[in-house]
Amino acid sequence: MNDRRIRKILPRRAHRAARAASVAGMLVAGTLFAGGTWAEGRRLAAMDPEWAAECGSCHLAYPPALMSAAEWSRIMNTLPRHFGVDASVDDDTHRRLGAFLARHAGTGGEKRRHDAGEGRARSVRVTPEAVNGSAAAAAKPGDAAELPRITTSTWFFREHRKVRPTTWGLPSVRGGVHCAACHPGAARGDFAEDDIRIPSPGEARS
Amino acid sequence: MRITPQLWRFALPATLVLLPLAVPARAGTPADIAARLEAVARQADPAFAGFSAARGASFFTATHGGEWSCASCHTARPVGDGRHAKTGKVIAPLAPAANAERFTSVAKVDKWFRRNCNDVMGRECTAREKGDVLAWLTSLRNAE
Repeated sequence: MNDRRIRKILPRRAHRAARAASVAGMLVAGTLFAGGTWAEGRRLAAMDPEWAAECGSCHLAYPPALMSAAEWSRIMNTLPRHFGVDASVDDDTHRRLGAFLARHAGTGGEKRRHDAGEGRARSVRVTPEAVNGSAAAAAKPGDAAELPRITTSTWFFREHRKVRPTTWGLPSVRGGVHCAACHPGAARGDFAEDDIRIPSPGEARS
Repeated sequence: MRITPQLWRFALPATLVLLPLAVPARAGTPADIAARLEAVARQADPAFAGFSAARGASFFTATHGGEWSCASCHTARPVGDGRHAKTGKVIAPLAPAANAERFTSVAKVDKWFRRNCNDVMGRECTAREKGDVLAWLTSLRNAE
């Protein structure tokens, strides 16, 4: 916004207050998106209709904050071989989605590297095989095995350390990629801790 | 109403956001899309004698030497919901009789044929293959 124009409209004191408020707002937003506090149950609100439509047609449109910009760019650069499926998009769409991700990506990659050891030690019960199933863990030919996965990051294990290993294999859960199995608001980017519903073993497939 | 700079600050972004909504996306009907495919098929093969729903039906359920068929995700009679073979996400019906949105956008049709043929066949489908499948899908009726 044009600073000079605001100055004309608002008296000086109000202008100062508005500037302070906008700085405070930016700090709060910055903390939510970049600081990684999302995992404590805040809404991962950054959503975009095109992101929801393009990425949400085959699976949940995962909130961009769940991976780092570097990880997303690896995903975006391998879309024709996206976990064994052709998910290619046209150049314009690719460019727009890439810009959206660059703006709203989280810090997943950095966290993963820094505290990998600590995370593993604290979450002995949760292993990639338990979360993703042995079939999913074994990459099939054509799968880019080295692609970053949300479900193998350290924060994922840490956040889910209290989930029983058997829960991941329930027919209504089928692995860690199906966020909405336990987070009913996942499609809206809502992972609030007071809104978690873990299915019980006796439950029928949803 | 006086147009002040303040008004422009709101009016201009609002116009930019709303304008694309007023212009209809490149729309079509299943018949338009079939006609388009037919033109390409005829160009590729001068002896082309029209699309076949029967050929489309068997094409749709065949695995073509791979792991999946179209029916793996869309079911063998796509007037009902399908389910993504990999992610389990529900896929809305593909037959226009059951889902009026299907085959109304050229861009969407092109995108999904490109991706899905690649997954099932390991190559893009020909215009004849696409037209056959479309002929079969448009022949399907809800109640049977």
